[in-house]
Amino acid sequence: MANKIKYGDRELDMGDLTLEQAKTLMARHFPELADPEVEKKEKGGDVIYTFTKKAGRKGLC
Amino acid sequence: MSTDKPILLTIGVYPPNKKNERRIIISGAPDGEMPVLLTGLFPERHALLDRAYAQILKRDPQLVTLKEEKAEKTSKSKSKGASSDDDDDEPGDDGETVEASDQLVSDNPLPASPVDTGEEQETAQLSDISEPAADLPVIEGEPYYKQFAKRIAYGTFEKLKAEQSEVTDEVGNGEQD
Repeated sequence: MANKIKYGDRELDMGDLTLEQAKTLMARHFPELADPEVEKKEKGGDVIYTFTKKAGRKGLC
Repeated sequence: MSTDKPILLTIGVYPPNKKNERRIIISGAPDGEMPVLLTGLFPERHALLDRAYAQILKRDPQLVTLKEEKAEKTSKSKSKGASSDDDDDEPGDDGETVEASDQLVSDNPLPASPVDTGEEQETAQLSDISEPAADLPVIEGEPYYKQFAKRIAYGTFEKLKAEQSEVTDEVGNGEQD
C-alpha cells in the first residue's frame, strides 16, 4: 500500500510524507496549489490524493 | 535529459523524532514539472541533494498538464481545423470575385480616380522637359547672365571710384582753404 500524490496527469510517490507535508511541498513547486482541494481515493490498495486548484472568485468583492 | 528551465530544489529539515534523528525532505524539479522526492536523515543531506539533482537531469521532462488545459488545446485544435476548412473554401470564391471585377474594369473605360490621372499627366510633362532637345540652335559667346553680372560689377566699381575721387577732392580743397 503506497500513498501517491496526483496533480493533473502526473503522479508522485509520497513515501512516508504526511498530507500536510505533501501540501507544502506541492505549494512550493506549484504556486497555484497554495490552497488546494485534495480528494482522497483508494485504488488497488494505493491511496491517491488528487490535488486540484481551488476555484477562486473573480474580482475583489 | 530535462529541460533548460531553472531547477528548483527545496530542502525541508524537520524537528528530531523520539530517536533524536532529524529528517530532511528534498524535492526538486524544473518549473511546471512534477518534482523528484527524496527523504533521509540530516547527515545524509549532501548525498541526497546530489542524488536529487542527478535524477532531475537524467529523467525525461514531466510537465503537468491539467484537464482544463487539455480541453483548451482540443478546442483550439478543433477551431483551427474549422478555420482551415473555411480557408479551403475561400479561394474558389475569390476567383469568382476577381473575374467579376475584371469584367467591370474592362466595361468602364473611366479611371477610378481623377487625381491619379492628373499626376500621371504631370509626370509625363516633366519627363518631356528633362529630355535634351537636339534641334535647338547653339548659342555662341558669353551667356547673358555672365555679361549682366560683369556689367553690374563694373558699374558699381566705377561709381565707387568716382565717389572716392570726389571725397578726396573735397578734403584736399578744405585743407588748402
